[in-house]
Amino acid sequence: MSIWLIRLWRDMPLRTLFFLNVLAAGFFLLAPFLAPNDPLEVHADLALAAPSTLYPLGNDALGRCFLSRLLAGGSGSLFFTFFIVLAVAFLGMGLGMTAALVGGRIEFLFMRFLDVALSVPTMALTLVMVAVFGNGLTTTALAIISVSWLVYARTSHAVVLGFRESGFVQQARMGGVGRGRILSHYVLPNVLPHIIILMTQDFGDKLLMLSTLSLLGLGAQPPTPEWGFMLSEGKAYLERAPLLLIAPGFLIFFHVVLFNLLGDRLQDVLDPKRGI
Amino acid sequence: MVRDEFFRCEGLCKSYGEGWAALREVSFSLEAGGSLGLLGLSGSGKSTLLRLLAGLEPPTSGQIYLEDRPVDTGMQKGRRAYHRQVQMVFQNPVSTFSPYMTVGTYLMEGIRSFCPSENTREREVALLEEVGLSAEFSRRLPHELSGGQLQRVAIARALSIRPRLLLLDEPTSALDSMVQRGILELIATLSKRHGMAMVFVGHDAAVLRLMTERMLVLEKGQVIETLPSRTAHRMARTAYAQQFFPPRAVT
Repeated sequence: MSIWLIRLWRDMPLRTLFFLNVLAAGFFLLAPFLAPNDPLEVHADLALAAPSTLYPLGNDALGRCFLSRLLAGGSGSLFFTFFIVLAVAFLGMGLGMTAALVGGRIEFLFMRFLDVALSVPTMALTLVMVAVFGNGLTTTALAIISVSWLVYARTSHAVVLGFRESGFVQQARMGGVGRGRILSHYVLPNVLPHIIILMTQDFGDKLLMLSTLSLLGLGAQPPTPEWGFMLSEGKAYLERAPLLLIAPGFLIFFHVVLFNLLGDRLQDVLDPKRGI
Repeated sequence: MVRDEFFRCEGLCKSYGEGWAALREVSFSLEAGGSLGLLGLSGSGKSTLLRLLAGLEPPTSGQIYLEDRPVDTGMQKGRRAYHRQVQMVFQNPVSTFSPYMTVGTYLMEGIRSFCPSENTREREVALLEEVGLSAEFSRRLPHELSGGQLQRVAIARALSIRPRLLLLDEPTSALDSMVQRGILELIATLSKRHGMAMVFVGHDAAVLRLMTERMLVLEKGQVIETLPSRTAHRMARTAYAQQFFPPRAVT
């Protein structure tokens, strides 16, 4: 594990990207404390008002402070995206690795279940799950989790399978190394880089999925601010107040690109053929 | 000098699925400090036999005895006791290293498990020096070592717990000829120094003649001849065995 940390720490571009990601995500996660106004407070007389000292980015169609809504929306979008990615990684990795290590009939049945579930398009399956769980950010997040862990399970299973009978695991068994240490020191260090890279690259996908569902009216419900939902609201005022559409769209794009860049860099840095 | 027989296997068979037997009724014994070569073409069953001897796979039938006691590698306790005495060096050194584990950690894994009191930096350095590597190698990662250096570390690890039997699965076949020579000399020196018995798998009869006292010739999973290594080229009776000793290659 320490080799990882040394590698991660020594790579300047990765450090920069990591710092930028933490800064951007941290800023929006702390948004409720930074918002200049109440993001839910309606001022009918300020509908689509231009930026002013009190409302730095102007007001939306209901006269709510747009900057405060952007900040609060980012908090919701990013928090739920983090939650989704962590949950699917934990669930998928746990089940995929367990199936690969247990083997036999359990592994066979589990993999056939994955085959069937993964043959259905993710968005279609998510829409079904949203219909089951109901509208709202939390239920949408649960719907996405219930569908997205499948990919992590398959990836972890495939990676563990590659290492289960590898020369170094056999050598470890002959060296009297116990199952727990084989898992923690031989299998996990080789599986985790794959999962971490998948997580960072998946972060953008999940942020987009959450926003898309909100855009379709299935995610965040009024008056909750959320970038996808704000994008949906903003498109009606493209000509009069383009910032209502451009700002949340740009922020989604910015975070997706930032996390994808981090994922790409991690992939390079965690390549075992790189030196410390 | 008469040596005690300490390792024996009787009627070892291995089948994969129905009808295909990778190994059929293989029996032999080995004295303490003795050496045996397994010679055969690819697919003759020599690597399968070595995996059974290493306890990595159970035989379909037959039994292995260590000091006249039947070996049971099906259970963790039995496997552990067996591996305390029997270690193996694999064919491809690269595959036996976890890419994220330093040479030092890898080297001490057996000691950590079997003889924790010896888990010291001094022992680590001594092991590296014994196989001709300096102490600074312990901090390196596998990809920073050449194939020959990796195989030296693999040998050091196998020897670290002082096994009584070392299994070698074509340990030089993945290396170039100059490095091969160095590794073979190292194995010969160390096995003599530690009084270790050796089972050496190969398809190069010249190497087996050099490294072992006698050899079993395997064909289609069966032992078809048992030959003293030194005179194997003269004593091979079957055409299959004779093909390993072409007249020009015999020295």
